[in-house]
Amino acid sequence: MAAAWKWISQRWEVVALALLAVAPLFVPALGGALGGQVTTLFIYCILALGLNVMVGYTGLLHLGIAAFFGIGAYVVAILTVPLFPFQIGWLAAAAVSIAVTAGVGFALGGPVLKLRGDALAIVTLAFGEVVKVTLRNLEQVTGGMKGLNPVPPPGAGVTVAGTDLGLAFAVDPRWFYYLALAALAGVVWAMRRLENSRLGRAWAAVREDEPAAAALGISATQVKLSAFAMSAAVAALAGCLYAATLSTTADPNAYDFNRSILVLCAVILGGLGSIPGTLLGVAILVGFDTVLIPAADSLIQQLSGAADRSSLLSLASWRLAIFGLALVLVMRYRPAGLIPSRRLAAEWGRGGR
Amino acid sequence: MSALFLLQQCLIGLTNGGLIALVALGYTMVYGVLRFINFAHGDLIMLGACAALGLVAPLGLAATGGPPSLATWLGIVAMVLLCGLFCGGLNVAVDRFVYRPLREAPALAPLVSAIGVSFIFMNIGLAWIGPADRGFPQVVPAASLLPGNGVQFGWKDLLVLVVAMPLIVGTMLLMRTTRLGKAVRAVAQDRTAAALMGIDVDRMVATTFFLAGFLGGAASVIAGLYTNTISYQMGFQNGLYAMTAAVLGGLGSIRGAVAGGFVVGLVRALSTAYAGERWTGAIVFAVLIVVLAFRPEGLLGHRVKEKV
Amino acid sequence: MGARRAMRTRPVASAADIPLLDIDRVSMRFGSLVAVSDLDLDVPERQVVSLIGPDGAGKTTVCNCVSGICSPTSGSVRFHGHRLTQTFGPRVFWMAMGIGLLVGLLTAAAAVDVDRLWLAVVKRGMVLDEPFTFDTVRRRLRSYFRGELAIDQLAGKWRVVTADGRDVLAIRRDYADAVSLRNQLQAAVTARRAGPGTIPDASDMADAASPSQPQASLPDEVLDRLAAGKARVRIRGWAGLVAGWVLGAAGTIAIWKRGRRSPHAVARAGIARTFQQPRLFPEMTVLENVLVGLDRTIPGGAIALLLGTRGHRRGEEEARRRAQEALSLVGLEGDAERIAGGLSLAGRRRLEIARALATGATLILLDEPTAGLEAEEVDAVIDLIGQIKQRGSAVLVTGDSIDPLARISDRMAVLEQGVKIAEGSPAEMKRHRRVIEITTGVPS
Repeated sequence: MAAAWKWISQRWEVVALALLAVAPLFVPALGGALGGQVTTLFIYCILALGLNVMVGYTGLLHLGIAAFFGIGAYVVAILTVPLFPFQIGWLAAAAVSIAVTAGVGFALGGPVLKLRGDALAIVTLAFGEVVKVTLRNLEQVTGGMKGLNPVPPPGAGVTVAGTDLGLAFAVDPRWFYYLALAALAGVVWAMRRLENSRLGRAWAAVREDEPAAAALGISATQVKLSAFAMSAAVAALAGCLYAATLSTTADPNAYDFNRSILVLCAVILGGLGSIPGTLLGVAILVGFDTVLIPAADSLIQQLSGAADRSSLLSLASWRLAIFGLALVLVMRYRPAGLIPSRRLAAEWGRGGR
Repeated sequence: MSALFLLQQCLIGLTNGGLIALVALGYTMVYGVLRFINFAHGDLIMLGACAALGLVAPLGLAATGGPPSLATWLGIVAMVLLCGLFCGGLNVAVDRFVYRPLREAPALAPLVSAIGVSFIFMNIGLAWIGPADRGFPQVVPAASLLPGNGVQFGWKDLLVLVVAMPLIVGTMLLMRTTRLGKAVRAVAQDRTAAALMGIDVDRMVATTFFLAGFLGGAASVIAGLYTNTISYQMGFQNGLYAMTAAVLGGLGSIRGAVAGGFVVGLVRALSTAYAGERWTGAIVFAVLIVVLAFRPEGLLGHRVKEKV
Repeated sequence: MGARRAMRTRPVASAADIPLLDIDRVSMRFGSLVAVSDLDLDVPERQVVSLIGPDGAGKTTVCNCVSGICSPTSGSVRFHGHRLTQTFGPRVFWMAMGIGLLVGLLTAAAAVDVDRLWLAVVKRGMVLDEPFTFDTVRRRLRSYFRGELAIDQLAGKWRVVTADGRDVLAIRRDYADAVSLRNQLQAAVTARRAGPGTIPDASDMADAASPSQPQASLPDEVLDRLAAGKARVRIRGWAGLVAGWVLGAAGTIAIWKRGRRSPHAVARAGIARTFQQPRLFPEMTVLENVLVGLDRTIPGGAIALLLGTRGHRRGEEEARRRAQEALSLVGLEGDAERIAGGLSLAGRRRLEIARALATGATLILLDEPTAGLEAEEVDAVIDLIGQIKQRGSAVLVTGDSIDPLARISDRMAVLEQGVKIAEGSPAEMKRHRRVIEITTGVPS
């Protein structure tokens, strides 16, 4: 029994993947609206894992991850929407988008790597704002506030066994569910692999003691740049999936500071540098937003009677404060997050450096 | 695009800059002593503006078209003081209950807490004035002080400079010459050593938070009177420009924050005039990146060598 | 093994007369404080040189100057006869030019207005149902930068517009009508641009030759504005390109300059160091700590390791083997999986030495490796230094007394307040009166 438990806890990814893969067979709701929500959850998980590369592994606070998410979504949209002449397939567009976004991450990283942590945070924050405003301003390129649509479903035009894959995607949202799940599984696998590789070690070394790493021939510049690029690339992947799932880029405000912060909070709450922690953090925060608050509010409404419609009496109107309070309390009492990574648990547990 | 037009833009930049510098000082002072960016400062100013809106009627101020009377000026001074005390007190309280327990925590902890506090503030503001933009009475008219149509310099612009400049100069003098300033600077340089020298570190940190909050409160009054609209989201935009200014000037440097504030104000005014308002943010950001590429420590910041 | 690697990367300059490390008249001032003044010190290959001095004599500053953490105020540090500063070569030059060009293209695009460029080059093709090929793009780009007129479609009607889509000059129901009108107007604009009496260029000639009635003419000021449009867009484009190029290239060089004498470059050249207070990566395991030192021996970047290429896998295995080897040399082979932060001070020192050794450095700087250790631990460290020497690396070691280090040192130098007061063999130093005074604190 104990051995079985150990086996499961060591391979929780595989178990979770298997459960999620068969879930649509037993939960028909996943073919409907719930499936869409879960797909979005997967996409957020990918985004959070991307951010985790910077904040968790490398220790660089990044407040503009949504900008990379947005760039990823927009590049895919530009390359696929019927409004423009490119109209290459989704898969090729996603590849281009990831490469472009990684390049943007690189370009942002270059001039600002020498900054101390907080200054870097401000620069990334400002970058996020500038990207959002630029997406809004370039009306010919990005459609301005209308966004770009329709983004054709992945696989449009590809025919397998007589059915058009694009049509299959359009008809059954479970295709998106599986696509996002596969991407998430791929990202988790890649992160696992990176964590225990020379790159992962170099990230951790730079985070823990930059001068010591430099004395061993590790170039902090290169290492941080690779983190910037990797983070941007993963965020772009999430953006590609997002645009495909919604079949639009949505308006640029979808890629603003609030989204960056939501993802950052998820990473911090769950546990910096920890993959299960990050996933759990996203699940909690998104669940909090989409499940808990509406449920609690309907409960409050029932208790207080329908007559009292004061907006102050609903959790939804205190959502921000609850969020903020959660951040403050987590930092105070559990700074390494709910499921801390092995490395950071020790670092934060010691208190100070 | 005549010289007069340019002069006009520079004047606008100067007034903008005064406001930004006032806010940036709040960021840089706290950064100086605690080495973290007090993310909630922008939203503190939003709360200050809410308080200022609430004070308009009790202080007997009202929207006017003519030149402000002595009573109006006195009312504004009272408003600056009250909002300053309000924001300063709030800042000290937040320091006491949120940041002080985190003094020995890793560098990320206070910053993330500050983001949390900023959310709480924003929500308080939302509950206070509602989700929509609120008009702020035009207590000081925009009418130009200068004759002719060439260059406009209104009562409002004068107000910004009259309130902001003494505070900025006063803060600089306070930090440079007084014993209090020296103690705060000692804490900024080395907290442990300052404690060993008999300086009450917690009190100095609290003082810094109070000063930063006071400047923020004054800035909130100006922001309300100058822009005539406030909203619960104004903290983010205000804070972003001021943080940019603080980073541009060199985090932790008082003179840097002031210089950065005026540079950002000027760049903002000029790019609004010549490239269109929608590109202002991008241009300010581009200037920031260019400066940081050449001087990562900021315009007036000094290089910090890592101790080995 | 270490020496072999280093030799492959950097051929040893002509033998004996050039010392491995040559500290030449190095001074280091911090403001008014002189930490090191005019220090001359050589470390020959495969020798142990120790630098002795009381606390505050400037030993750590010497280590920092050698390992690139500080740049000496004056004087030079040479390794294998080379300064350890990266020189400005063609690689840097082309990198700066390339990045400058990229930035320049971006700023140029921003200066001529990305949005309108996009409209003219990408979107208009969709309206006219032209294929999106290299040729059409080139033609439309040229047309944009010439400020030519174009045809656009809105709500089923054809419009004659400026290339950037800013001005709508006329609206026609019929496509052919719109085209001929466009050609006439274009001819008029070109003529205005060229000035009276000049011949319009070939394409305009062809347009003008098409038989059509003059249907519309434009007021003079509009013509003037359209004629000036070409100059405007070109000036903006060039100004943006040049400004961006200059800024991008200068910025690249500024960033490069800051890193040109960085510690990692020194380490890659073959100098590894330890710190007075051991600086480990406390949250990694002991083995991982050493693996960080072996980072460069593992080929392949992010892509290679994600794909798990053969080269990368082999490199990783080889690195693990060598890390184990380094650990067993310092006697930590049993602790490989422990978290490094949990080691004792002696263990941390040993791990730091193992890490430095693993980099394959030809010179190892040990900054006070014996400070704070028990007597037998000190002996173990001294033995370890002897083993390092046997393996073919040179060692520069600092300490605050002659005694333990004399046993393995080939030469010793003594620092007092940043000035070298004596240098010689251990035996000479043991007899040197001033040295005895300083290191024991007892005036003789």
